[in-house]
Amino acid sequence: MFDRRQIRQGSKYLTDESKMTGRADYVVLPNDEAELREAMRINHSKGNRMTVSAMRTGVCGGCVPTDGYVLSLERMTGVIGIGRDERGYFVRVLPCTTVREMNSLLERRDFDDLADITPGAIESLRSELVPWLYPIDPTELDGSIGGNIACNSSGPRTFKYGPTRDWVRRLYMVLPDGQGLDITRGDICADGWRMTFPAGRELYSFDVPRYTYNDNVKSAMGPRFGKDMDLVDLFVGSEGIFGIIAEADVYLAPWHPTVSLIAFLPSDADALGMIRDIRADDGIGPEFLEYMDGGSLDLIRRVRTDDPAAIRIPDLPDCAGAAVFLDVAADGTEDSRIEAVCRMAEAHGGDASMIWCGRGREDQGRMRDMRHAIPRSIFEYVASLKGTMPGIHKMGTDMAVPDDRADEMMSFYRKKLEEAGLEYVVFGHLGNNHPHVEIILKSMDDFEKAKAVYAEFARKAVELGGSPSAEHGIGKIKREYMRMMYGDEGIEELRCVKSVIDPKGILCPGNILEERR
Amino acid sequence: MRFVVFVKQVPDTMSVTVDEDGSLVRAGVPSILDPYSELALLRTLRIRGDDDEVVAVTMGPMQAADALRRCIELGADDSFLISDRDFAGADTWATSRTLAAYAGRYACDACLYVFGGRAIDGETGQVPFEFAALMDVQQFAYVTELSREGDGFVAVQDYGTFTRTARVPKGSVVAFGNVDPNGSIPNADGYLRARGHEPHILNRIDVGLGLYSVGLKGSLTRIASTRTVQSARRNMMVEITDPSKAADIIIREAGSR
Repeated sequence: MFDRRQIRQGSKYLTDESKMTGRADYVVLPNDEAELREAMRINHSKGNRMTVSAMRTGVCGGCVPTDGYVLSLERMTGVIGIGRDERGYFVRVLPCTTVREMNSLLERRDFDDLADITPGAIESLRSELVPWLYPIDPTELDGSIGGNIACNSSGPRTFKYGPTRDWVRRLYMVLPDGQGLDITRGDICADGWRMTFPAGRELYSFDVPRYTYNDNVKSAMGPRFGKDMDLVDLFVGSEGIFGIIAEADVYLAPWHPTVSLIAFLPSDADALGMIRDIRADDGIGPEFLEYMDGGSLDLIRRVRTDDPAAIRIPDLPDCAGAAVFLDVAADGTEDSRIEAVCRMAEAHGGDASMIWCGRGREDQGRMRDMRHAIPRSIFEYVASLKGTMPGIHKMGTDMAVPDDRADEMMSFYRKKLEEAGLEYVVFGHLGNNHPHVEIILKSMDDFEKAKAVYAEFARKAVELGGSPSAEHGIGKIKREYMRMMYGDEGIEELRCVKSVIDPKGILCPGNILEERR
Repeated sequence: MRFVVFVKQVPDTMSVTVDEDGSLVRAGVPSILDPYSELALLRTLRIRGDDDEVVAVTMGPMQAADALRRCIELGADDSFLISDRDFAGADTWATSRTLAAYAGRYACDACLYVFGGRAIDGETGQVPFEFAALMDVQQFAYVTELSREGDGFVAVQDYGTFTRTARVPKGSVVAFGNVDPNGSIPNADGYLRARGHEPHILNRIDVGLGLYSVGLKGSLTRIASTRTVQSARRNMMVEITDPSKAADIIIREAGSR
C-alpha cells in the first residue's frame, strides 16, 4: 500500500524553484510502479486531483498543486539497466533519477546491480574505451529525468545535441485511471491525423491537434503533434497532463573531453558581436554558446563574497563588461579553434589573457559554477522576498527566436525593460538565440510591471516566429503564452485530447491548460 | 631577475573517499598542483616585471610533469622536473637537500626562492626552512603578501596573533602560508603555451648528489608503523522548521557526547 501523508503549511511539496506556492491536502509517495498504479486507480475512482512532483526544480510551477493531492515520485529513483539497439546504448531509469546520478554511475561504470535490457549490453558498454553518458545538460543536474522528459527540457548543450525529446527511446506511462502503457518509439504511430492506442481494457482514440509546433527554434511549448506522430511524443513535453512517467529509456552518447572557454569582453555589444562571429564560423563548432551580460557579471562579483556555493569562482577581471562561454571538443584540433576564438575576442576588444581556458573536472566545474551562480542567486533572492511579498514569483524569460531576429529581440528586451524602469540581467543560451532575461524584482509594483512587460516579450517572440518557452515548459505560469502561440483552436484541440485520456481532469490540473471551473 | 618557485604535485584530497572499513580509497584519485604551491606561484607572477623569469621546479615522479604544465598554463616561463628512482622515500630533509643541490647548481642567482608553506597531503611544513638552512639564506614564513620595493621585496607575514611587514633581501626563501579558496583558472595564452611545453628533466647525477644523500637512504626519519584511526560517528537527521527547537536539539546532542 502506498504511503500517504498530510501536507502542512509551508511544506516543500507546495512550491518549486519558481517560488510559486500552492495548496494540497496530502502527498502520496509510491515506492514503485505497482504502488503508483494503485495510487492512481484509487484516487481516480474517488476523483481526487493529483499533481505530479519529483525534485521540484521546475521554474514554471508545474509541480505546484492548486488543490487535491501531490503525487511525489521521489522514492522512484535509480538506474534499472542498460540496453543497446541500432542507434546505440540506452539506459533504463526510474523517473526521479537525476541526470547527475545517472551520469555519475555511467562514468564510474558501476554496473554490478544493473540488468541487461538487451543481452550483453552491460559487458559491451563496460568494454567501451570511453564512458557513454546522457548528453543533455538541463543546467539543473539535480532535476529528475522524468521531469526533464515531461517538460522536454534542454539546456545549453541543445546547441549540439537537440532537446530531451530526441533522446527518449521508451516510456512506461501510468495513465490517469492507473492503467500501464509501455511504448517504445516506433511501436505506435498516428494514422495520419488520428491516433488510436490500447491501454489495458481501454482503447483511446483522438484527432491529433494540428497546431504548428515551431521546429525552427528551441521550444518547450507543449507536446509536438504532427501527422503520423509517434505516441511517445504525446507524453514528452505534456507536463504530466496525460500520464505519469514510471520508467524511461534514454539514449547515451560517447563522452569526449572538452576545453571550456570564458572570454571576458569590454561590453555587451562586444560579446554579442563575438557570438555572431563564432556562429558564422564553421571551424569552431562549440558544444554550447552562452552569454553573460555586464549585470550578470556584477551579480557574480556580489555573490562571490557571501555565498558559500560560489566560493570556488576565481576573481573576475575588473574590466570585464560581458562574457561569452563556450566548450570546444578536445579532439586534437582544439588548439587551432582556441586560437580562432582568441582572434575573434581580439576583434571585439578582448585578448587571449582575458579568456579563461579550463580543462579537467576541477576547472570546468568552477567555470560552470560561475555560470550557474546567476540563476541560483536569483532564485534565492526571490525566495527571500516571499516573506514580505507572498504572491511574488520569479520573472525570467525563456524565449527563443530565429537566427535572423535575434538582434531585434535583444533590442526589444532592453528597450521595454528600460522604459518600465526595471532592473534586469541577461544571460543564457545565445547560441540558440535563447537568453534568459531575469528581472530583479524589488516590490509588488515591480512584479506587476514585470508581468506586463513579460507578456509583451512573449507576443514579440511569437510575432518574430519564435517560442515564448524554449526550455522551461509551461507549467502554470506561462499558460497564456500557449494560447498566444497556438490560438484558441489549438488549445481546444489539446483540451479534446485531455478529455479522451483524462476525462475526469484529475492529472496535473492547471498545467499547460487553464482549468474550466 | 629570476624567481624560482618550488611546487608539489599532490593527490586531490577532495576526491579521496573512505571505504566501508574507514580506510582511505586512493585508487583513481587524480593528482593536482598543491593549492599552497599554486598560491605561491600566482603571488610571484603578480610581482614579475617584464624582463623577469619565473621558473617552476618540482621533485617527484615523471607524472609530476603535469603539475609543471599547470604552472606554465598559469604563467610560469619555464620548468624543471627533478626525478629519479633514487629519490623515492625521501623525507623532508632529503627533499630539501635535493632541492638545495638543484638550486646550487642551476639557480644560485635566483632573486627569491618561493614555496607553499606546506602541502595538503603532508602538512609537515619543513621543506622551505630546511632548504633555507642548507642554502644559508634568510627565510620568511607565513607570508600572505609579497610586493616589490625598489630593488628588493617586502613581505607581510601573518603569525595569527600579529602580522609583520619585513624587507626581504634578494636570494631569500619566502613561504606562503595560505591558499586561495577561489583559486585560479589559466588563460588562453597560458593554455596554448603549455601545450608544447616539456619540462627540463634532471636526475640525481644532474644535481650532483650521491646515493646516500637522497631518497630513503638520505632520510633522517624512518616510519616505524602506521595505523588507521577509527572514529565512531553517529549521524542523525531531523526535519524541523523552528530554528529555536533545532538549536535545542543540537545543544542536547552536543551535551550528551
